[in-house]
Amino acid sequence: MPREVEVDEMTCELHGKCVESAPDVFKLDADDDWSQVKVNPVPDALYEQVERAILTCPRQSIRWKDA
Amino acid sequence: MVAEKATHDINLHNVNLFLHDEFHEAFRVLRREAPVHWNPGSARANGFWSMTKYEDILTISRHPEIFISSRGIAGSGEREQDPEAAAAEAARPRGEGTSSIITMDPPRHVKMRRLVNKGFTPRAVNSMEPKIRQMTREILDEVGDRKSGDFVLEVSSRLPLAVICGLMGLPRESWDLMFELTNAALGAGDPEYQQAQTGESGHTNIAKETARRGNMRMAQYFRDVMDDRRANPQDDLISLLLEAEVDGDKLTEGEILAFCNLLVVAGNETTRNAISGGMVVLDRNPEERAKLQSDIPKYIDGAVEEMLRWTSPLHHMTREATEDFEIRGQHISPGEKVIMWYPSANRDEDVFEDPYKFDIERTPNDHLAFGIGEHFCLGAGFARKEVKVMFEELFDRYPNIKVTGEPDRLRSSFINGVKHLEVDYK
Ligand code: HEM
Ligand code: SF4
Repeated sequence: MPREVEVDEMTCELHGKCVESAPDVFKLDADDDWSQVKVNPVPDALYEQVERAILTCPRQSIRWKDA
Repeated sequence: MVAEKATHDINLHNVNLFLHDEFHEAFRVLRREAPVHWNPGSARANGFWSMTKYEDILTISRHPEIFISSRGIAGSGEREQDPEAAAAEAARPRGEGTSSIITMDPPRHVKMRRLVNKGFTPRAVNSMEPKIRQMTREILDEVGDRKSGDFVLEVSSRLPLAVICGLMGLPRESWDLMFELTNAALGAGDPEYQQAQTGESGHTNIAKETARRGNMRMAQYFRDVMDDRRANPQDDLISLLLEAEVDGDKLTEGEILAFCNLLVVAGNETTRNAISGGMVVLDRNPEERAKLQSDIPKYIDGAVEEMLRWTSPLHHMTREATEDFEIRGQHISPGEKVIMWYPSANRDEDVFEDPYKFDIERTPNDHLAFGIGEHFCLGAGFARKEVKVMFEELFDRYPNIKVTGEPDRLRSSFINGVKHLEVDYK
């Protein structure tokens, strides 16, 4: 089943670690107030990137929607 | 049935372990032999669970509603001798109205944090960079042509103070006072900072008395600033906090004081020691240092992260369990203290390749020097920028700076501190 990822807008503080770990999934533009998900559901090939972003997000703001 | 708790001969209540680099060896043994273990209490202090693995610190940090911060974040707390007092302590409301975010739990924590966090984002930090560079240059101007001196007093302690005072809108004259008061509040276990006066609380415990006096004087100072900002609001943090509301209520005076106190303490001692510790480790690794100085723009970001991993300026943060929890086969019960040892996580062989090697090109370098999750260091962006700008400017001005004496270390299992560091600037 395709999985969707989400960013908790209450806690995200724009550290950008997610963009570093998963540049194909997250983006942060100058006027964003939290990290934006570019592709949902996430293609299988990008799962690993997302797992890494989930692990290293300083605020632990990223999660799989079904998790 | 109560399972036997794993223990170990190494006792982390022994502060002397932290006076030298011995604690790294202690943690290496613990990670291998008893990664999660129960450190029994002493006559005066509570026992605690020690977390020495990176992964386990992640687990604890991901459950701020189970492992709470409001019952204390440093050490394991004093043991209550008398059962009645212990019961009263357990029933005490958790710091409502008087605590800052660092000792606040969900769900209130994030609401408070959101009042101020816009001022700490990478964007906010970047817009402050020219000012931080200016402050750094002024500090180095004061060192001037001196041939040698104390790096901590003359350089590393000064920038963090300047930045925090700037953020809070405090005048330059306040820097020296803040330096003294933060030393008293945090270095209270070290004889150099103890003020051996007989206090009204009976001087049985000089460390506590020193901290208490430091905190009182700081509170008085900030009360005066608050009075001033009520009358003349400014574009600074204190004015912002005076106006702010959470769930329709204004913050109490106690909460604002606690927040000011937190910023001054959390922002100073830590960043100071990242810079001092960074100077020491660069000096001891001449090859890495030469590489950095050969192309500073290329290597500085990696070097800053590696200095943070290496120094781990905060040795630990403490939590208290509120539910039963299983981790690595150990059973944690409600009311028990849990200590997360950051220097140990940051040298965990399962996460960092060759962890005892200082490598400014280490990638990835997802160290936990700033913690992670709910309480992730609010000032991390400022801290990183300060360390970066300081070494850029320092090596520009004093490319041959050399450490000439052994670092004089702080006696503390909480802060990885250097009190004095003799250097030749030229
Ligand atoms: C290298 C320097 C620094 C280090 C290593 C450091 C480390 C930490 C750590 C480990 C925590 C987590 C506390 C916990 O989990 O309970 C923390 C929290 C915090 N730090 Fe820092 N810090 C540094 C610099 C700063 C600076 C410069 C500031 C202010 C400008 C600051 C402000 C704070 C605040 C306000 C918190 C509490 C956040 C919360 O509870 O939500 N820190 N810091
Ligand atoms: S790493 Fe986490 S906190 Fe940082 S921008 Fe991405 S989601 Fe937000």
